[in-house]
Amino acid sequence: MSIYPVNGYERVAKFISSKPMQKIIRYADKNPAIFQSATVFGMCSVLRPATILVTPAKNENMKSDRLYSSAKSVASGITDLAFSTMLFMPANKLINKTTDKLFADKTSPLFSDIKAMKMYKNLLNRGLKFLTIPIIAYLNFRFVKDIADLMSGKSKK
Amino acid sequence: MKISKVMQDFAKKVSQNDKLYDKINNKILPIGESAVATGMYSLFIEKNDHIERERKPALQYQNLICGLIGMFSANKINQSIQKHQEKIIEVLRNNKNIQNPESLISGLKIAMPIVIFGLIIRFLLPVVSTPISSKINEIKQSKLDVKA
Repeated sequence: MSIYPVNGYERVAKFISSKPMQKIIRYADKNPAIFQSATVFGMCSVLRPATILVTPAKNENMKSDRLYSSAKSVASGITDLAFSTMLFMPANKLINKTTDKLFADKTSPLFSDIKAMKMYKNLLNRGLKFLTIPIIAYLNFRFVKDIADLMSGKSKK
Repeated sequence: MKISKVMQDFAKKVSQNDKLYDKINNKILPIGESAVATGMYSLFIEKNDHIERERKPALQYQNLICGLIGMFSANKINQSIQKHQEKIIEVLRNNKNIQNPESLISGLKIAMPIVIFGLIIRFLLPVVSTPISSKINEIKQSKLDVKA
């Protein structure tokens, strides 16, 4: 490999090999759930609303739409983080534990079948998500107005 | 526990058919989840008494745009990420200066899809769809005003 990055992949690999990036990526390896939650929260509650708010708006209606969209982003990030830490992460641990037991159980259809085990885990994780979608959807929009008012500096009368 | 047994049998059956496994894991389940979420969001936007009536259409359009594009592009995005990821991993493996490269590669396989997928679906798409949904609402309102 030459000293200077020749193509895009080498450039990216060089960036990934830097000390700070290695630290972050190795952290993701040890704590994938926390890494995912933090990334999603950062994008939804910080980066996205900040970017939406600075996009140009021609009139008052568009400015209000922009504000509500940002508020929805913040609500979405907070809801995702809350559900992730309180429900999905512990549930994921339990699912992994249960599936590992079934994988080792000779009477189980999943015995020593990695593919079947992954499918089963996926079904359980998705099943849990399906069940929680109504609550998450409700919470995503319940506080949008309050967050929008807070962001625009309006106080409650 | 009957449900668990049924699910285990289903998982076993599906895993024996590669095409079906790919179809369910990468298409049916993610699309189904996205469709249900988009529908639920739409319902709760409409039912929410706290959001001003005039703000609801733009939120609905944004929800629909993000939901539909996310539903049908998520799999392609994931496949593309995996393709590029493999090439980057190849370069990293050849780099003798990295200590414990397998831990870095394992972390990259986790971090890269989360970050790139998140940037596209959770950042870029909603940011771009906000002014588009406002514009759609504006056009719709002007047509309604003309009719009135």
